[in-house]
Amino acid sequence: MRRRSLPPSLVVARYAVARMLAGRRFRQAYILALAPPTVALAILYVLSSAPLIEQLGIRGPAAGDAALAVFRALFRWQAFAAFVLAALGGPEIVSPDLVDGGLPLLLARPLGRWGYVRGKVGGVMALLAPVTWGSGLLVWLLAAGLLSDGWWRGHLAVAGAILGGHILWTAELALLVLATSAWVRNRSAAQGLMLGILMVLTSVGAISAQVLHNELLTLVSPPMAVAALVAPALGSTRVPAGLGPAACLASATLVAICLAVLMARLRAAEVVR
Amino acid sequence: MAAGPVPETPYDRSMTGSGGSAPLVELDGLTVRLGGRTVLDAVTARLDGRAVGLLGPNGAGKTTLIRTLLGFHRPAAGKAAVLGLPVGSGAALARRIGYMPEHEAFIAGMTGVRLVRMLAELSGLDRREALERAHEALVWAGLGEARYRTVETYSAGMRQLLKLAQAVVHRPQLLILDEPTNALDPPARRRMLELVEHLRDTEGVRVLLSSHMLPDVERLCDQVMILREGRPAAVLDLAAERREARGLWVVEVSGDEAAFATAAAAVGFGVARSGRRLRVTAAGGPGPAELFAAADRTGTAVVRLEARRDSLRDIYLEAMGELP
Repeated sequence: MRRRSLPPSLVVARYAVARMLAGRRFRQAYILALAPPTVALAILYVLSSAPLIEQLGIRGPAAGDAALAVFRALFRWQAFAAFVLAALGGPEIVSPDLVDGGLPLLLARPLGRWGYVRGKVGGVMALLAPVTWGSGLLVWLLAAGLLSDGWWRGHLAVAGAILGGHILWTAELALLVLATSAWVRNRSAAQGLMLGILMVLTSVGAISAQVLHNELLTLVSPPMAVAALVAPALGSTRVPAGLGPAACLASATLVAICLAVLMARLRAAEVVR
Repeated sequence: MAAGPVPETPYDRSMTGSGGSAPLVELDGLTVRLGGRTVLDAVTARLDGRAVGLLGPNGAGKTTLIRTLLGFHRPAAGKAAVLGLPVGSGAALARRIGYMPEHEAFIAGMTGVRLVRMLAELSGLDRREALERAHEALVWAGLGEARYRTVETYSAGMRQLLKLAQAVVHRPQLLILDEPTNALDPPARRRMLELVEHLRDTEGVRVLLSSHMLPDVERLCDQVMILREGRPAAVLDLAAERREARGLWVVEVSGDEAAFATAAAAVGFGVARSGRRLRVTAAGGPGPAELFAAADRTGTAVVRLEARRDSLRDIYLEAMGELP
């Protein structure tokens, strides 16, 4: 009996995941990236334990605030871990296709450039899911079970922020690492370029916001744009309120630029001018 | 690399290997511009041979034509169809084509079997079937012993065979080969030609071959399109050319050679110098007797007279306007 075959972009995603997991450094970093949720869970357990709370001198309402602070810290750590993992694994799944002319072999199949990008981005996002929103939501579910009865009702937005924020962040990271890898082709150079882009954008955003007294300029930094979107739900006061629409626009611009770079660089046949 | 007879192909008899009766390629005013330059200029042709060769000098547009048929380049004007399906018709056409590119094409870090398997899966095979076919294709291509090695460790010849194996792994109806014997030593070249010949003859796979190697094209193809500066300079039915009794003689005379040439031309021969000898052609009618008569009339003697078949090389040079 003939078995069903996967759509080509899912085949690309499956091989991308396998390729990233084949790297020893990536696997080590991946395991390390599971530490923050474990630590967060331990802290939440402490917060839910009445005798321990009493020993630590934390009162009822303060435990809820502390839990929110745990989720804020967890979000930041997971976002950082996702960045490290994307930088380590991303170039591995694009550069080899481009360096030795492998791309025409792929694109001569029933696979277009969009399908190729979808597959690669999907692979990165699927692999980052367990260390970002997957474990984040798991921690939230366990916190809902551990903390007071009404806690989860009052903090549904936290779950939404974990899910939506991490999906957006991992999508941006995946596109950025694919675009830089397609642009420079060399793996180490792509990692450096990705780090450089994020650092430069963050610095430029922070400096220009201070100089020009305009908070909107901080959104030039991709992590700040995502932070601006999840800040209200996570109760963060670091990011000014009301930047949501501008943050969406900034994220959409980054995605559009990355896609434009990918479409320009991923060609089955190069044209010599 | 294994030598010897060509083993069982990765095809099976249940496949629709014949590619149907549709023309291999139909081009209708196909124009392709790249980098501001017109590479293919309103090409119109119908290629319906079982194996079609693309010939032409560098820059004539052979590779661009192949890439356009694969959908890599978008035509500026005109239309093209492959196996009766319009170019750009997506998966339906891509599954019917196996492509072996001219240049280096592999993905470093993957073993031969993993690379070929992945490409088979992309062509629509499920995981298990893709794995089986990848093994079959690699063994068939003579890479059985090297299939678990990473492809960057392969020699140039092995990489060519790997490209062929990946092109046939999904059992396409049409095999597009761009300079398949490039960088191959004589035994490897012979092996490559045998494999392609085997697919063509045993499995009914149709072939579109671009090559600079005229003997390869002559051996594998029954139709040839010669491209010159982005236009078809000639479309030949090689089989018919072979059948046609076109007279071609190489003649060496002693005495006034110029007078002999003039006398031969006067009775309908085409005469051209070819080194120390004369190359004499006739489309029918005059033959060796008339050549001897021309020698008699001019007081020259025919020292050597050799009948030859018009080779693809001659046809090619004539199309290029380089035949004296």
